[in-house]
Amino acid sequence: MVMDVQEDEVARLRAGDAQAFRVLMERLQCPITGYLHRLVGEREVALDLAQDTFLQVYKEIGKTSPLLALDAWIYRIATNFGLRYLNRKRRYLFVSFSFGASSHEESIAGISHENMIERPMLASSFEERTETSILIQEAFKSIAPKDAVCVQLHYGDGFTYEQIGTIVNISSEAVRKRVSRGVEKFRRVYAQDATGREGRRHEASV
Amino acid sequence: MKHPSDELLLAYVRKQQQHLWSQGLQEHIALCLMCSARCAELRTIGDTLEVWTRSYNSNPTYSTVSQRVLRELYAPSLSRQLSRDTMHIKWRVSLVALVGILCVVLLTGLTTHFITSVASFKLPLPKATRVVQVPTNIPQQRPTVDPTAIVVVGTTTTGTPKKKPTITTACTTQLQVNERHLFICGSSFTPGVSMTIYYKMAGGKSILKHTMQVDENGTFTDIWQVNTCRDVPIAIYAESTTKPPELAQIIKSISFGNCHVSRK
Repeated sequence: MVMDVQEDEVARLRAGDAQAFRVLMERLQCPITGYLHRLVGEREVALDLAQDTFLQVYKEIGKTSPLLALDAWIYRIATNFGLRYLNRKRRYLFVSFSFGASSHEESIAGISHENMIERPMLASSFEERTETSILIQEAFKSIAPKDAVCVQLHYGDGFTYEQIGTIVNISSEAVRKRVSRGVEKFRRVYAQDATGREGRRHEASV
Repeated sequence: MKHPSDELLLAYVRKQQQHLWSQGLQEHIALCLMCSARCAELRTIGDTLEVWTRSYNSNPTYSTVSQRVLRELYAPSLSRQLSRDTMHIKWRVSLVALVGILCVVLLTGLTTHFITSVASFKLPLPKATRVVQVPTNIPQQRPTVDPTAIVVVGTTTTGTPKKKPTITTACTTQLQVNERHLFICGSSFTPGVSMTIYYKMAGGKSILKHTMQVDENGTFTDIWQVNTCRDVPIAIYAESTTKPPELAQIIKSISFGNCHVSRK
């Protein structure tokens, strides 16, 4: 897995084996793009960042050690691209004062009907499920990017705290703190939004 | 035992960092209502997050990444061409949208202008006072000719148009001014009709009326007593009692001796 040293694969990649690179992309394109999509909140941006990630892998693999933890390294590149994009966006949003507008639209547009049906959320109608998903997205956006990275990698990709520590290059204790901080922030915002939604629904029914 | 921190509880719930868990901690969580409730809450949040985050991994559009990367690596010119094409399409769409908007604005402007022109256009009324339709079938009997009528392409115009009724104060002589009498003379009215002459006074006073009879020559004369300059009316007009009424022009800026008043 992520901590494993995939010596054969790394050796082939370092030798410029096109087939090995193709296999690598086939294996990691969905998890990496999904991770970036969740992190930045915009599908088109996530596709661009994933493309940049794999191009970077292709360019830099020759300079790495033969004992490279390949997946961790690729996730680290993707994380750096994602965080760089978020920082740039945040700086830009300080000027434009329109935070969340495009992401909100994206969050609605990016959720397919099929995906929503598959989700076992505690909402009955399609509208309610969409609303729930938007609430989750909005709550997730409130988490600090560095904490969000750890939360995403843990909950979305199933990495352990130690594995995340390898990817992000921090200790597992630091990962524990970040995950806990992220989850707490998410819980507060999500609970607040959900209470507001219930209040609105109650007012509408009255 | 002290309650464990949220970090530790979360790690416990998520089965992470098992070296941190002690037997005492597990027993505490099992027995402490507050901690077990907190663990249940963290599990619920975890489930929500897992369901939401993992739903992203099945997006079919992610599989295009490898194609994009390979195209970029092995056919950069094609990639650039595609990028340029996309840009061109975007520009074209923008240009078409802009032209469309301009056309709509132009059409709206032209339509508005046309409607305004049509609304303000009035057909010029013919000067003829009587219009006669020339019959297509000429009767067998000998036609009678009206010597005063001028026939112009299907219409007949009367030869002597009637004068417009007028009123004036110019008929007041100096002698009458000395006697403090203002004369109002009307002409070209229909003989025999009753006339009402209205005198509008300055200072918001009410309109005063005189009733007169038009003589056989179509004229009448009314006399208005002026003792002071205040008695000079600011406007005079006359109207017949017939239907439709005959109206004369309104007299304003009336001078009487040294008095002169004008309607403001």
